Amino acid sequence: MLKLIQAEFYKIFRRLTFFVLLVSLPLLAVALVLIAIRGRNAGTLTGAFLVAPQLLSYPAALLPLITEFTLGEELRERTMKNTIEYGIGRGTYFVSKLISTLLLGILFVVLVYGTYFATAALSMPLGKGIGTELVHATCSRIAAASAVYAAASALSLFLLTGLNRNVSAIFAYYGLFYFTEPLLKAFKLSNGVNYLLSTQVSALTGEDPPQFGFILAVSAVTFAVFCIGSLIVLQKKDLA
Amino acid sequence: MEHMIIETSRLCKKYRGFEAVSDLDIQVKQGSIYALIGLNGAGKTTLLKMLCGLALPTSGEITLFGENSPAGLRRACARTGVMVETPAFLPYLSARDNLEYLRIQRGSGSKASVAAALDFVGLEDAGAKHFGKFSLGMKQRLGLALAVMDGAELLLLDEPINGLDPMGIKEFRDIILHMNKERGTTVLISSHILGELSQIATEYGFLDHGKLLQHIRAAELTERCRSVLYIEVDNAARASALLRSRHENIRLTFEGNLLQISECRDETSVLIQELMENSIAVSQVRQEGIGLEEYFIQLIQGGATNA
Repeated sequence: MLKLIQAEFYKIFRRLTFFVLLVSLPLLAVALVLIAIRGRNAGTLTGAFLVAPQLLSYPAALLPLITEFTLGEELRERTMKNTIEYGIGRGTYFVSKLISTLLLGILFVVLVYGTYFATAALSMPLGKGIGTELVHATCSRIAAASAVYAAASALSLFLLTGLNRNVSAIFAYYGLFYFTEPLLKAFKLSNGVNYLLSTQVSALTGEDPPQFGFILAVSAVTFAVFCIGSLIVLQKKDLA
Repeated sequence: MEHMIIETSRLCKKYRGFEAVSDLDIQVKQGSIYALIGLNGAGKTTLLKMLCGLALPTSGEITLFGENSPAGLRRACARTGVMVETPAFLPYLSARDNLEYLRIQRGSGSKASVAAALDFVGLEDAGAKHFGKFSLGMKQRLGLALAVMDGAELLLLDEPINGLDPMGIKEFRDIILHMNKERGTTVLISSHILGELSQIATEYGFLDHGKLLQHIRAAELTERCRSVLYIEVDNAARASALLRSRHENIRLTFEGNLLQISECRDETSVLIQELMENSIAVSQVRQEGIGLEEYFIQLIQGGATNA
């Protein structure tokens, strides 16, 4: 398993798109801080901490890019066969892709939020209300959002595994993530909305204190369901 | 007793009602070069894909290196080099990086084994070139480099010389023969270029509609190809029907007034006598050898007739 993950990063570190993202996402974080400073309501570090949760909705939109790095391109280029024909189990293969996706996600979250808070700390006055309580609350939201992203990664990997075209999988991901809520409401199934990943993200970006236990439970169940689904699909799939 | 590297038992693969491989029993013994021959859709690629775990059998059993449990088959696959369909690698990585990526993943050999594999297939100067910029022939060579990188004891090769130039084909043949003779590598290979196969194969398996029509050793095939009997008669259709009815194992076709008999246990004189006794005029009799291609065509046509 470790060899598979090590090989994954060997491959990713030789991909130009990865480095483009690695540079552009932290730059985006810096840009957000600079915009806050230049704005009429000149930013403070306290403000940066208060605004940070509102940014938690964006990484979910970037997840198909990360799963494309790990599993997507292997399916598109049909290179998965090189691994399977060597006798590496399909389950092991999938789990290695999942772990690589999660590690990449963690890398990006740390990098983007690290750059964001570091830039804010270096360039903004402290402001009122900054303290361990605010830092803890913000970090808790980011940590809980990471669990939601992990579940969203499992969803994205499931769609890549199940659908034969990567483009279809990406569209299906956005469709499921962003349009399930209005669909459920349209069909008068509003109770289901509470269990959607997008609802958990909304709870984490909102002003009210989120129910971390519920968010983690929904993320864990979603993660498990789509991981098991992916494993089942992959075990039965004939590879070209 | 001959040690079998590959054995399949009643192996079947169905795709939505279509049976690509049907009750297939093949045995490939250690150290042999087994050539799979068949028309498009005969089941060659499907068989190779099932052997290396890319496709899952609908029913039946596969034994590789004496192992037939799922874990055992995975262990056996690690001793196998595979090149099925067009080789696929990541286009943005160089040939060397692609092999290195897979070497790390497999946890096999050292960086030197990557260089050695590239050198072995004549890609030592193209190691830094991106796979996306490779010609078809170079892709085939890189596919072969991956197959031989881990010192495979068994090679499963599907149309490996597609896209190779004449020099490349000769080099490929030399590589296979070298691995077979020097390392004792067993090879299961499919190709449409029968002339090429006939230069390396020690055994042949003829597939048609997912079934094994015939398994034959190279020496026996050479013997069979040595002579085909041509008999010119005044009524080939009647002559054909007569001979088929009297000789159970006869394999014959006819075109115009010419009967072509590729297999018959009885003497030529017996056949001629039977024809003449039944008022079929024989105007010419001659015996000629045939090539692998012609033998295959006759076998397929005969198989169709028998069916």
